[in-house]
Amino acid sequence: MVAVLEKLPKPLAREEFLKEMVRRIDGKRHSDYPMVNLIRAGKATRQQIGYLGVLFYHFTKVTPQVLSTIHSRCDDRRIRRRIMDTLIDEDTELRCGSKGHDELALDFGTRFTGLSEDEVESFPVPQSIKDMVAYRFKVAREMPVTVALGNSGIASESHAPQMCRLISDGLREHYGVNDEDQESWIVHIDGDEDHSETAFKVVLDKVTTAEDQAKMLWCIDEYLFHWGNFWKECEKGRIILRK
Amino acid sequence: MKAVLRPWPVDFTGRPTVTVCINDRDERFAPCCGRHGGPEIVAALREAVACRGLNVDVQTIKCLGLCAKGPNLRIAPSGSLYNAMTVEDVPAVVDALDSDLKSAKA
Repeated sequence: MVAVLEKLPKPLAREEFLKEMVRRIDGKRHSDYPMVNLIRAGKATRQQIGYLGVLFYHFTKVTPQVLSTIHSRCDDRRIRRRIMDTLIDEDTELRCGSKGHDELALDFGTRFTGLSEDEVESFPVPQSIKDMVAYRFKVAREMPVTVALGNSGIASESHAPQMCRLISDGLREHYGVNDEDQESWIVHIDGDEDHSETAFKVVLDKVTTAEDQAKMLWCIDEYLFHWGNFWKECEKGRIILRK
Repeated sequence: MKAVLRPWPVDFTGRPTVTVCINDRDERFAPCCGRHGGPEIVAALREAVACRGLNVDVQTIKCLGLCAKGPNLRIAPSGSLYNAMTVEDVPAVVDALDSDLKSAKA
């Protein structure tokens, strides 16, 4: 853990809290990292992109368990239902995507690298990604439910569509990747656009005490730190491609 | 048809892509484009693009993430979206593409 859990002397007013969350995200959006822009410009190596594909799978595959952990701790029926809908999106082909999102990520990982599903699954995941996954579970288990939801909704998903669009356009334009082979990115470009607004609204409505707001701000700093490590790790391109 | 039109990138000189969702799935949880004309839209688009001699790549996908609004179609690199598409809407989409391509060349 690198972020410091600050103490707020009193709860921040709604607008002030929103401004503070956005201030912490500014400059640390996914699309601020070189890796994303290298792909868009056609300057990333195939090793870097293949490595991204495999690491993104190892990030994505735990999302259903992270969500169900939060779901199991949630006392509010309406919020629980929303989590359930997201879980169906993520873990099945029934609402969003032609497969569970982990399977779509696995498809991209295998098709771009030429590795088999077993090889992607057993790929030696670097410590920084293991730490990121451990952080996600820690938040899901220990943070207030609305803060845990805001962790993914605000700190990560609120700026994911732009990243997915840049990656997808780069893959299509410079690396000859057909859209069918990169559904994992495309499904989030327009499908997730309203997630940001929803995530901010829920957090602004529900995270109102000084203690919970401090936790939310800590989560944003900490998750963005892990995301920074993720993108820097991808740049290393530590993978041997089969194609 | 509903359209969310986005500007064409000024420096783009490549081949645009039209991606049509053709996903066919159990509709108990969400509708799918494949059962509401997606494949027919692809066929009509390919035919119209060929007839007009446009340098456009028509691709398919199994989800654009907007299932409730389908049938959906997305244009790259502008990111323009067309929702609630029908085969009858195809000429209008091709007209718009043609116009965008001409503007890009100009």
